[in-house]
Amino acid sequence: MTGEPVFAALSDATRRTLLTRLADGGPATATQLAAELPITRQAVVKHLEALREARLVTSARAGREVRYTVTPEPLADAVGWIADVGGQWDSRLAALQAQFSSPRAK
Amino acid sequence: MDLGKAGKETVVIHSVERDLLLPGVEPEDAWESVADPERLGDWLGGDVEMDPVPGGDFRIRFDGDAGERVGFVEELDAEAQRFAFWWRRPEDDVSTRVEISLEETDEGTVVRVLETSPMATLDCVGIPLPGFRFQGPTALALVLA
Repeated sequence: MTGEPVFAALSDATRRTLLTRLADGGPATATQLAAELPITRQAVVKHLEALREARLVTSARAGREVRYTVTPEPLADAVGWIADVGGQWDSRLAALQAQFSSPRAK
Repeated sequence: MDLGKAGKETVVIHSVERDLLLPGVEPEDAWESVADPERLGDWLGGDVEMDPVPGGDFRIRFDGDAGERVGFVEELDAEAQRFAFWWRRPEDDVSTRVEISLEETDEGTVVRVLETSPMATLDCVGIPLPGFRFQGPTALALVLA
């Protein structure tokens, strides 16, 4: 399953909060995020690092600070998983429907 | 935080759900297609072997060269007409959970399938999940998916 490292990184509520904030509010530094959210700057940095390892965010130096930006690619993997699994169930349910719409063989 | 609210921009990315109405079919008849391994395998697309008790082995060998999945039965409840099992490809570390349930309606029996990724499993034990908001092509892809 391709979404796996992403799901692991997202298993933490604080990381989900940070990711949602970055997705909604655009790129931000750890200092900005710590000011907006009830999380210490030190904790913000630690969680952003975990998100970066899962490729959910990228970092770029901005002056003396590091600015973090959401990357859509790993989420696209998750979207791919949903599309794959959804397509498989569509086929299976069509086969189930056929069990009841054709004369019963068994 | 906005939790799991699906809409134009906010989409939960962790599960797949499908409904199928079988017009005029009694739930008891539809249940045969879920609980009987031969009939189940017929529409899942392979040969199913399972021990229908909680924790019992579940295995399906897909037709052709489509491989197999292994896992276990969580619950096969004839009274509630609900079957939950976990499966994974042998080469994968993580299983997904599948729940098939039946609902009797005036028009017939509705078969509901829900396959859930490990992230959503956390939700089952009370850890809240976020909705994700994205603008642009990603949002469109999520909505279409």
